[in-house]
Amino acid sequence: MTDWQASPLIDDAVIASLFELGGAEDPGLFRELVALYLADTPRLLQALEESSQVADGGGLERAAHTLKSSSANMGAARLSALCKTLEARARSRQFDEVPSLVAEARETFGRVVDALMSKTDAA
Amino acid sequence: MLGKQLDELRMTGCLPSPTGVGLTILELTRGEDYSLGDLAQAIQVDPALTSRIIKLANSSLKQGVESARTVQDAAMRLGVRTVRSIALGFSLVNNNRAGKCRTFDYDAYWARAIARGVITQALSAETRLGIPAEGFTLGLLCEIGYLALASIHPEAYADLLLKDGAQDPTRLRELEQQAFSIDHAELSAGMMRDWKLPEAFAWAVCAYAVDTPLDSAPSKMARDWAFLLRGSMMFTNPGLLSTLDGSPTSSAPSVTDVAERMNVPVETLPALLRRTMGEWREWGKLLRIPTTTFPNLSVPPKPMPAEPLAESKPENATSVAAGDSERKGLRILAVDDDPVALRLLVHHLTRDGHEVCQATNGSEALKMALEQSPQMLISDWMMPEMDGLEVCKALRRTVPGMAIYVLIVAGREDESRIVEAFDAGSDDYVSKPFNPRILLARVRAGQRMIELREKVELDHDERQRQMSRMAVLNRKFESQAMTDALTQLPNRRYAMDRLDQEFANSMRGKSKLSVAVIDIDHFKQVNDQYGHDIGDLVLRETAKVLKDTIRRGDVVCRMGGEEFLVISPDSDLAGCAATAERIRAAVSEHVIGFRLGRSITVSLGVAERTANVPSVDELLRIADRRVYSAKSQGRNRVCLTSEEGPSPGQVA
Repeated sequence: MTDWQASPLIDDAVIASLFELGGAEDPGLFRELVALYLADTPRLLQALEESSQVADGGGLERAAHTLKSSSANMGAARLSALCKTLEARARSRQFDEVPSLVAEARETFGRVVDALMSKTDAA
Repeated sequence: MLGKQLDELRMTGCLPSPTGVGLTILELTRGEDYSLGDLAQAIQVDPALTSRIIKLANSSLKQGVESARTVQDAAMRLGVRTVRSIALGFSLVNNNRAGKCRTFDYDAYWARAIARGVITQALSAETRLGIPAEGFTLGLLCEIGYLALASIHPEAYADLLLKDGAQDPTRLRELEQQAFSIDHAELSAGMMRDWKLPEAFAWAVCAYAVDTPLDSAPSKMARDWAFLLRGSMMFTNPGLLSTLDGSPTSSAPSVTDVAERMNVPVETLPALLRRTMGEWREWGKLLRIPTTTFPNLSVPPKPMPAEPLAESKPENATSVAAGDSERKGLRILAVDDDPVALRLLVHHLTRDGHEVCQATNGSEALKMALEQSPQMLISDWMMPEMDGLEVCKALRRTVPGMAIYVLIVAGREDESRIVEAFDAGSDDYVSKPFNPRILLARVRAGQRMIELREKVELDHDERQRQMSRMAVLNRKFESQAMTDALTQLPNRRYAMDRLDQEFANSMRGKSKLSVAVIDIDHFKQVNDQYGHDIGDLVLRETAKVLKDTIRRGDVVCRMGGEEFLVISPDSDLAGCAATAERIRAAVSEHVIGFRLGRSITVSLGVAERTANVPSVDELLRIADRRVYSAKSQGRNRVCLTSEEGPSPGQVA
């Protein structure tokens, strides 16, 4: 078991702090952040897949880096950790496990979407 | 009543006024006797104004015309009056960009003033009722009373602008009268009088917005200006503007209506409107005033809503008032390719009172930074294509980009390379994911730097303005200090300075230099016998004859009393003697034999600088001795030799 598998799908502390951030002034902030994240991530996943197919280390590293930080911001801890692993592999040009990691990322994102949507419904 | 009100307001020292170069130029151009050179000299002191004027002169350049490189070129091309308006407007805008009146929208005020300026200018040209450049000045300043009230009574005026009826021109003036015993229109008029703008302006700004019949105007000019200002109100009616886009509204005056009332051909109107809107945007850029929606000049300026922050957080009101009320937010450009991170960044910054624009990639950021000159740029380091450091490097190669404080947001893994960020020209960095408190603390640290830098620049500007004022004063003072008040000839001080220069030149260049000392004969008797008035008259008349008789290139000065000096560069003794003889003859023929029963004559001593004459003093001493010889030989003569030998040395 690698580190990313040990991370929770969603870090509830981050979600709570995002709710708190908007507070009474900006109650729609959380919903807005979720929308931004959900809209931007498919592009990054596609970039991951394309770079992985042609073994483009640079492209893979950049996309993984961005998805790592935006996922961390949204409390998607497991996806963030997974991207961190991908980023490290890309940097050291170890591509053997990359396609399966990318597939894992897409699948994890699907579950993140469900989780975040249920949080916004609760809000 | 009004005079007293205005006096009191003046005493507060809070009335908006042009300073520095603007003031200098206003003072310089009050009379008619200023030259393009004087004007150019005053402008050159301010580099920002200089570049704007040159840019403006070249902006409408026709092909084949050489571009203006100096202020003088530009002023010649634009015309002195236009340059004056620009300088006045520029200095007023610069000094009154922001202020303490919280519901007064300073940017919108200036956008409005500029709009009024360009429209009044265009209408003046179209109707031929006024000089276009004067129309610009009138339009620009015709609502200056609003700004003045906001400056003098920031608190009371902020409340007044929110009252019912403040959006109605007549009602607003009533409210102002109740609160301050003076209204914005009267104040505008009073300030225009203070600035010695045409009296017709003052009448027009009081009359145009209310139903004053234009026939009651004191002059045709006053009537015409009021008429043009009314035209500017009709022109900016949003209904009329929307008819341009092909979406007419029923309540709007039709284009035909307006054209008829303004007496301009209806087919020229749409083009005229579009042109003025374009000019308005250009001016906005030039003066850095945002120009988004063309203002509606037929109603008073809209107040800004009261600050939302103070309302929504009443529990913090005391601490805000105690600590942060003075702290203004920064204009920040935030850049990140990750939309979530960008949104969070913007959220934190906005909540801390900053005004934030955003960009999602490097090249967009660079473009926005150069267009909008934010005070601070906060950029993510890692971005595809152009990253944060590249943006920073590119900015630092430009003049406006150098002034921007750059804060780089670096991932933890980039920290080992943080030196690169500083090498690229960034001022500071924060690590991400950032702790909002640390981010805001870093921004505040940057803000202190920015404010310090801006203060230094302001001081620098102010010093430059003072220097320009001094330069103009000195020039005036110099010319006064160097001129003899009675005869208007250059005085002894000037003569000695000039002679020093000419003497040095002649030594260096081995060129010739001669002088003639001239003394009026029996002047003391004239004074005693006829009084000082006649004595002064004799001096003035003699001075005039001297001025008319000397050669080109010669200078004649009054050395004091009844003694004059002609400095004659490039003349040898014979040449100067010929001039001296012409003077002697002219004085005895022309000067004031009138009713004195005697003719006025002069005695002259001429001397040339030769190898034996080591100094200016020596040269003058020789000439003086020869005047003495001329006197002792019977006066009314020219003497070329000193009375050492027995020879009379007399010419003619």
